[in-house]
Amino acid sequence: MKEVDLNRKYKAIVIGGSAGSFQVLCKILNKLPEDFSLPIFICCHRLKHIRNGLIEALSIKSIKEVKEPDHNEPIKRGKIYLAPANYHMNIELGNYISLSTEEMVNNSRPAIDITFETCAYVYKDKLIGILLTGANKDGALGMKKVKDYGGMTIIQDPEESVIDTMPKAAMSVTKIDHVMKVEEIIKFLIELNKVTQL
Amino acid sequence: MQTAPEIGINELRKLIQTISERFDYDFSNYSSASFKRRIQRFIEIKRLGSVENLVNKIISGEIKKNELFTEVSVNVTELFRDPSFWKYLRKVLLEQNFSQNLKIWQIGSSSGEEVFSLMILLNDLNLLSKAEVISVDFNAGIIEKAQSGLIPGKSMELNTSNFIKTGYKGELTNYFTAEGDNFKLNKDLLSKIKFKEINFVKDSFSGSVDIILCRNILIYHNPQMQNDILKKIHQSLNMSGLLILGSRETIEWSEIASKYTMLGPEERIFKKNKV
Repeated sequence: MKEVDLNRKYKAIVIGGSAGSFQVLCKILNKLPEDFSLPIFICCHRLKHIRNGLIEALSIKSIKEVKEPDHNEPIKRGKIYLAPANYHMNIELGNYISLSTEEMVNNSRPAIDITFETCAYVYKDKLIGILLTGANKDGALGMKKVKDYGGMTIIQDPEESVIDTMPKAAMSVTKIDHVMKVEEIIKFLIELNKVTQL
Repeated sequence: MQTAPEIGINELRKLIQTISERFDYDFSNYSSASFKRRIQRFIEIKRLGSVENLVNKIISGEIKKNELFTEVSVNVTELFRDPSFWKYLRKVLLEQNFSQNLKIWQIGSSSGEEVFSLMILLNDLNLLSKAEVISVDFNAGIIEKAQSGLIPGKSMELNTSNFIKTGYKGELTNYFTAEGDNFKLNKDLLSKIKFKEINFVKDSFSGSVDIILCRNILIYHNPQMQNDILKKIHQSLNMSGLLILGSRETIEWSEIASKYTMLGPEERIFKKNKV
């Protein structure tokens, strides 16, 4: 793996993905250490009327619990939050999550851009944004916000992505700090945890 | 492709203060991320260019209260939104065995779909004659729309699909009469709804109510306001009364958390404990 800035300043991780990202998320969550200390916010495109299933499936693969937050849920250290079906997931100042039913953004609700943008606004340069495989450009502007606020941007290697539209769209609007294969993302998170644990 | 410039905290404060002074509604405890986006959207739709211009046009009277409030609130237009919820509510109401009159509040009239769905359910359960239904909203403009009983014809496909999933008797269109491009809720149902403007922030809710249907209202508000609204609801709700919230809303972190029992694992129907 290339040199990555493993800095203990980071306070949160936000992950987005669409087509093909479910398997990738499973792999990441399956390898995440149990004592992983940063909160992780996940937004992936999902079907409107299917409320359940995704959360159960991800939880089975994950060593840690994956939670769909309720509106105004306080954010806790080391918890994994998945944007619920048919709601946008916002991160708010004051350390909590809000949900909203506004119009779709990029034909999506939850929209990756919304979770990333609100996350960037709250965590500023202490945020790591990771965008995975996907078939549309949702998440690109969100990654730009992460970068604009001084956070770290990582995309899944387009060559490895099932569909590379999403990571490539992010590349075209902002500077990407690291292009990583899934195994490298996992290794990075494990190494990062050793630093942020201190 | 450009992101809109972020609204600064000071600009936002100024706007909220102006709205409060001119329109007598305090948005300071709205969920801030979505409120900022609603304002951004309003500025784009009206081609105002900046928050400052919006503030000036509110002061000059060019921007009216109703048009701003209608855009700021998210008015979802679906009958029987979350069919699984409506299916479950029917079951719960059947089990409750209401003997005397039933007082119901529906909070957030929006364009009417939620309270129309409720009336259809009450009719289905033969509860219409003993029910008193009040629908409240903070936006007088939108109440007028709801009061008309009209829903757009183009939404009927989704409405019908929702209705079928609830498993209720009959045909959805039996409850409506076609009127041009719209469908109008039948008079026997519509005339039974009392609509009322209420300021969620300032007004106290008073009454002894059996059921409060308040779905997707808390999601506009921050934790402090969520707690305030829940306390007001709590004071108005009769013993063993039902508090009904949206599918991702909860009483969990509020002061009233211990005073209710959630019915069933899935839908957010809370029964007030007898103490």
